[in-house]
Amino acid sequence: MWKYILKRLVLLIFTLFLVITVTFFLMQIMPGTPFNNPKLTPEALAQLKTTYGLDLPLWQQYLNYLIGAAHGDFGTSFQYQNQPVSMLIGQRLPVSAQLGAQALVVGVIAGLIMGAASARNKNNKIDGTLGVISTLGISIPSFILGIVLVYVFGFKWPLFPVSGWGDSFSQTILPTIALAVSPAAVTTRFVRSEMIESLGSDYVQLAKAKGLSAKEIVNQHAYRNSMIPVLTLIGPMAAGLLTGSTLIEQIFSIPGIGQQFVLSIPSKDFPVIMGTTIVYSAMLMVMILITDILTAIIDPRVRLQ
Amino acid sequence: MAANTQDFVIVGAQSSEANEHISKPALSFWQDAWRRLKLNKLAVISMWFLVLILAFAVLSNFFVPQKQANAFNSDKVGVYKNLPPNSSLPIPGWNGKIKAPGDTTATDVYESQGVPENKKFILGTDNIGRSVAKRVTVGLRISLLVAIVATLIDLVVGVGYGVFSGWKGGWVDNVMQRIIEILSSIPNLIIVTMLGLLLGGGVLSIILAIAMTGWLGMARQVRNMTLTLKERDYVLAAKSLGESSFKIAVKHLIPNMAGTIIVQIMMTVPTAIMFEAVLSAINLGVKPPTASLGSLISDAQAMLQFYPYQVLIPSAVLVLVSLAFILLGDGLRDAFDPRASED
Repeated sequence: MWKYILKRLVLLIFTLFLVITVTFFLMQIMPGTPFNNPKLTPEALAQLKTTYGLDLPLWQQYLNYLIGAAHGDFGTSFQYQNQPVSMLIGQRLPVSAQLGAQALVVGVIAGLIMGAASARNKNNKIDGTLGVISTLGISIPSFILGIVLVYVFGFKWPLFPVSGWGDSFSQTILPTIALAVSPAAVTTRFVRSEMIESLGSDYVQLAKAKGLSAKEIVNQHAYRNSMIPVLTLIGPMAAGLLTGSTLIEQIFSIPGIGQQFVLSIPSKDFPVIMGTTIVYSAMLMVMILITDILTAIIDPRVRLQ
Repeated sequence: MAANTQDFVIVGAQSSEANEHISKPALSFWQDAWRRLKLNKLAVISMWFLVLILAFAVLSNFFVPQKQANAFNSDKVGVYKNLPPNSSLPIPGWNGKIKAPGDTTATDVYESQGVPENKKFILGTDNIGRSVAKRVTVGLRISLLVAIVATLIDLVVGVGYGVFSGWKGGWVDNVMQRIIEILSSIPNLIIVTMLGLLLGGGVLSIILAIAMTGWLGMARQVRNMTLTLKERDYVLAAKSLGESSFKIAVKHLIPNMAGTIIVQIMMTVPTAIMFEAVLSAINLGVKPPTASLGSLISDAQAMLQFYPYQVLIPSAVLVLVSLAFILLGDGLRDAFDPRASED
């Protein structure tokens, strides 16, 4: 187990190193610079380049960046002068994390309930309705859902505020729903098929033969055994929520890391783009590693090589 | 004793016809899959819907050229801008009247802006007076084009990579799988954004960006299938008859996983359409005045409160197309793998 975790950690650090390297050199060949203001004199431009360390040879810049990144320092933003990227990310990450966590919790719980209801009512009306809902949930992108929610609950029936963050909890409701629908739909489908499989398995037959009620069987046997595969879904889902919220943050003007990422693209704020990329990738990898480890702990049948 | 044997009659042995009659006709794999697909009504409806949409996208080239949808008369922007959908029939909410926020009665915008009598826009116009119907038509075309080309690239790269990796095995497979692992641990949005930035937007860059991220899932599945298929006897037979690896892959491996591949494609197409929309929404998509479903949605989003139809119409088209692909994919999965379906 420890050996496996160690191996995965080494691969994780190696991957991160690759991501940093690739993004660093990609940024070098990106067309355009943030300093193309015609008002800048050559002297001022040189001054700016020195400030940001852009006059050094490339390999030295790369080394500096690597060393900095290892210490959690991702350089200075071009756009917001003298603001370290790590600080900008540090301010905005909690907002995105809160939104993502809310959506994940709501989505997974809704998915568990709907999936179980669907499996227990296999092939009847309830199952059919839930099937339609989950298929719709998968085919509607979260940003379109966000727009529709803004229109319906913001403008037609103004029940919730349509933008902003941090003033009241009600501001988080619409973006949370918009983000939670797709995880809920995916979980529903997954739980349904897992549960149908476990309801047909030998231990459920045995429990039936012993005279347990349908409710007891579902709650004590089927649910627990369909829970483990759901865990493997959560890691990628959590990471998907992070990137999915990029557009949702923009639609609802939520000051999260995704909104900052989008804003830094047209202004060619390369340090911010790079920093965000690295943070996103690191989070995705860590989350997948954590789910893999959790699965192994909970399900003794899974052996980590 | 002789009489005793006469008492026994062997049942069903009178004629070979009665003995060997098979009640169901023999079906090939494809015929069987097609038969099962036809049982799934939603999948069949989706399939016909997609056929119609594809035909519409191709045929509309003749009567709604891209140029015509992008062009607008700059002198008459005031007359034609932001007209609500008008079906020329007295259908409520679809008669060219719009209720401005705060107003109690609907006003006929066509009249108040002085639009000529014979001009009706069935889906309304955008903020510089272009017909939304035409914009959505060309947008749908671009979105489908992006999705289909990106999927074809996925198909070639993903299947090729997967078969090669699984077939070679050993350290080659190991290295190739680590590459996939590393690539899939970078969020898709990041790769797509990077490529979009690097290639500077436009249709080609979107196609490349989506293709770059889409093939990973395909390669993984194909590799796993290859690993099991290559142990089969018919592959061994082909090998011992001296067939080349390439021919075995093309003639034996790929046809045998066609079902999995087709299902995977049906899932790739809507993902590609959605990614195109996401890219357009962060200004890395098609360049104006070219329209895609995504760029139409993101461009009109600012005016959502006043002209919701400009956002909701392209959104509805996008959702319907991806819904149809997903439903057809579900149907195909059940059709190709009868064990996976619950009936």
